[in-house]
Amino acid sequence: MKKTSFQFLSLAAILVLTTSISSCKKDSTEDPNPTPVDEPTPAATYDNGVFITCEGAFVGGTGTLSFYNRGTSATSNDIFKTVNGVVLGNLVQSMEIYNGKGYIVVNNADKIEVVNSSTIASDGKISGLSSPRYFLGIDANKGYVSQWGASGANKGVRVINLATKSLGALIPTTASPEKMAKAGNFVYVASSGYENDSVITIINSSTDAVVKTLTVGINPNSVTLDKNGKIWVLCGGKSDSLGVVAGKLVRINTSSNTIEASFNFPNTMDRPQNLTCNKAKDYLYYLSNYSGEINSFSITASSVIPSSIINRGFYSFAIDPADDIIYATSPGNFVGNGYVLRYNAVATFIDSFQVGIIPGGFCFK
Amino acid sequence: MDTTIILKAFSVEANRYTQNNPGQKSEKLDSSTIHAPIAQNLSDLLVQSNSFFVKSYGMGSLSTASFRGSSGSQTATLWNGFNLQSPMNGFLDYALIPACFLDEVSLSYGGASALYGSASVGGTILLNNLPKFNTGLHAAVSGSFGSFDNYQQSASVKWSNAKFSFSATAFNHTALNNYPFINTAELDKPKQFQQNAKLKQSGTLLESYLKLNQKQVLSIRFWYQSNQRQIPATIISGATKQIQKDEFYRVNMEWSYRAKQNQSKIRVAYFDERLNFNDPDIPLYSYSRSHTIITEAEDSYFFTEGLYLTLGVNNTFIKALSDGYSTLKPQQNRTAAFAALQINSKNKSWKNKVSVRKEYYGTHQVPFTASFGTEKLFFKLLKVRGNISRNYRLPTFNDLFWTEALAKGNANLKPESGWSGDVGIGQSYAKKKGNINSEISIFASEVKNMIVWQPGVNAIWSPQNVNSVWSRGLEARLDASYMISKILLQLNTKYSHTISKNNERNQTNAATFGKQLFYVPISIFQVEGMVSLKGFKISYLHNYTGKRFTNSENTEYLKSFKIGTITLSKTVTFKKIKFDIYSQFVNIWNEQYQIIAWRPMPLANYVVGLSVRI
Repeated sequence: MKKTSFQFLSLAAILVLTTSISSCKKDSTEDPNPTPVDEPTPAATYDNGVFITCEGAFVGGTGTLSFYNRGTSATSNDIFKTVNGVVLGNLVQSMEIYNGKGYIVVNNADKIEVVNSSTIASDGKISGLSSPRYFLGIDANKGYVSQWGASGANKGVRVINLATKSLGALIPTTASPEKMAKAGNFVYVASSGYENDSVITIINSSTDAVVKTLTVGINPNSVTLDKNGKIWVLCGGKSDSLGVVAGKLVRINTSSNTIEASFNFPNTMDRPQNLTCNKAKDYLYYLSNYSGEINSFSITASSVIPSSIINRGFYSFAIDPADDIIYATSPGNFVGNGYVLRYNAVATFIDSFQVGIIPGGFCFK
Repeated sequence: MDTTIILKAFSVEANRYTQNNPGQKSEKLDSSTIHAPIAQNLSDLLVQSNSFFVKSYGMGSLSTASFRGSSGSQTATLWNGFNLQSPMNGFLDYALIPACFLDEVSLSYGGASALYGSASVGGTILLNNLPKFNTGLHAAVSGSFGSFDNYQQSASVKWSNAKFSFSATAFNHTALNNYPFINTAELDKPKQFQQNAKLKQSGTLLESYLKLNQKQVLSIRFWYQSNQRQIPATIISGATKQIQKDEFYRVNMEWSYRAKQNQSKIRVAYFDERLNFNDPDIPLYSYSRSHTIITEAEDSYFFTEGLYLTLGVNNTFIKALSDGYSTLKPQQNRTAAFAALQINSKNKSWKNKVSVRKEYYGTHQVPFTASFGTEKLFFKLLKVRGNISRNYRLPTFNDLFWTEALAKGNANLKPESGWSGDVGIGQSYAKKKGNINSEISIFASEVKNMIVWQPGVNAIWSPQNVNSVWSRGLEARLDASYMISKILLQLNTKYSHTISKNNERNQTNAATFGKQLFYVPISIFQVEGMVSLKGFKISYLHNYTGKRFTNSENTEYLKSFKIGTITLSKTVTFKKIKFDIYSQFVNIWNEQYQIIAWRPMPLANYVVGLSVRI
């Protein structure tokens, strides 16, 4: 009796194995990823407008790209997915347009998605990066990407071959390099050193060599170029258990690569960030991390007097180089969709529109 | 002789942790499933019996359960009566509870805070080790291997005479979990392998029971376990090297006294739980540890066989340290008093139970809770039951004491509180050749002051009592078995329908008001067919889980999925040695699915196991 049931067992086992193996062969083509309830509608074109990068939910969420059309005032959300059918990935940090291509930096996915800046159709990707932050186009064949590196091991500026989308040399910087600005042949990299360093690295973009480092104020987080060809560095300062250091604005002479002026923030709690310029490049704007206010500062002023122009808890902002309109973001509860609020040059509210989760960066076209 | 029978009945009736409470829906997991050599952990067991949702992050990864639209932290899980949920984050990971350490697993649906205390809001899972006397010497070894280098071994020795009982069980489990999946988040949809998903765990459970005399039993249990797991990345982020180590010591001691009219228990437990999390890429290294001492004393007095009163006190003392608490070394000392009155009709066809509990915790307001349950048997085959209960969940240590630059706990949090109730009607009909059982229940519950972390002033995150959740639904079950000559045919089906919505409108939640809670499936269906003949068993289990929203706005969802599982088993006895041979083929339809967004689950896979018992 035992013998027969054993035979039965082995027979059944074989039968099941066969079915499971044969079912293994047909790979299901169904997409198991999260599906939107309402598929967003794509815009006709992505010219004449503003791209907004939305980081996405920090834990296990995908970032998205939104587009605001200056002409029709229409907003299109999640356009990368709408056009390409796949998502951008975790933590979309920033986007730059260079030579007709959009470079979307996806921080936690260690990659840059390259798109046609008019259609947003995928043009491949640059992978193998390590916590990339910002992209800067250098010439027809070359781009720079600042990256934090895993454990800070591969920190620096990665040279990218734009034609082959392959990685070139790594130009070392101090810890956590952030924004970059180009003046002539030089690239200025602000490295905040996880809010502990004070170094600007100056790179000769023809040779990819570091020509000089400058010690500015603590936590340099953003850089911009003014109409006089000077580089401005915004140092955020810090406030932790070890003490409070005030923020600082530093002006660099780009001919001699020396510091020619620096201004301390009177309010030590200000923690300024997000330095940007207006269209004429004669006024600097920044965000107070403490209050979320946007402040401005004339490039000819003699001391930093924070003059709050918009008093509201923003997450980030940018100024449209076409018409000086201020775009500022409100991430809401950081879990649901965020908003972009628009203000004119004299800080009068214009309108607002809904974008993806945690809108953090802008790219003007 | 009569006295002994009554005592036996009493001893079962008065234990809140092993017996169904009148009016409450409960299920007991099949012991052969628990002890099958292929059963690995509580998560696997719950997936196979699911009329509720098991939230798993992947093979061997974090796994919690959601009863009736509640969350993992609202499911109290008691080991021999002591709550195992982490006092720090409120969760218990079911992937860290080996099936071979459990004698009995029962599920109690709906809230029962008056009986089980904090966190018994959506349901309660009761895990028990039971003393056995007069069994002599028994030993068992078992081993299993499965897809993706999954190996588990366990061994146990049990010995008992009339006075003393001893049992030792140990297990070891390793797995690579490097399963293949199609990465649908990439344009070219490449076939990839899960990475950084290795796990290694081992542990020991020692139990000894001593009968001091006919009335008194002393129990001591000791559980040590070490778990080291890599935490895989989602398919939308880059590779990770995250690794987590959970290590714990759990001890409990119990003195029980059982006389004709009086039953007493004094119990104490000590848990030392450590968690190391390491992400070398950021780099982040965090360590946390908690010590919990729970002491409970209760006495049941039997006025008559059908009328008895239980009175008791419980003290819970918790101390914790964590990098997240900075230099704080928070402590919590809570005391609860509880009482229950059970009234049964003479022939036990009608049972009622009223329970009350009041917990005191410093100046914190803990709601007074009460519950009432009733059940009545009609014509010996139709059971009608119902219960209503007020429930609560205390804030966790993280909710209260977290202190970091951008995230701060809130010492003024109120407990989550609410009520739940259900009514059910069940039928059971048994004949010599077969039987048929069915049950249908409808439930409703409300939880107010739900604790939600949200950003506040200066983008600092902190928890607030903001939402309320209104859930209701239906559960149905139909089981049948029939014998044709020597072949036993069995059919088990379960269905649940759950609507669980955010029910409080406030300034910040306009988009989430009235929306289904995320990761709560509306429908779950399970059907299992089984054929057994002379120790040989073949079964097919089909699980269907409906769509789940992945955000509070309900703008995105994960598609429904169906998982087919075939299990073959055979028991052979050879000269007093019992061999159990099992093989299981999971996800035979090769479904590509995700339970948590962007975390792929394995395609078809198998596990084969053998146990030898003497």
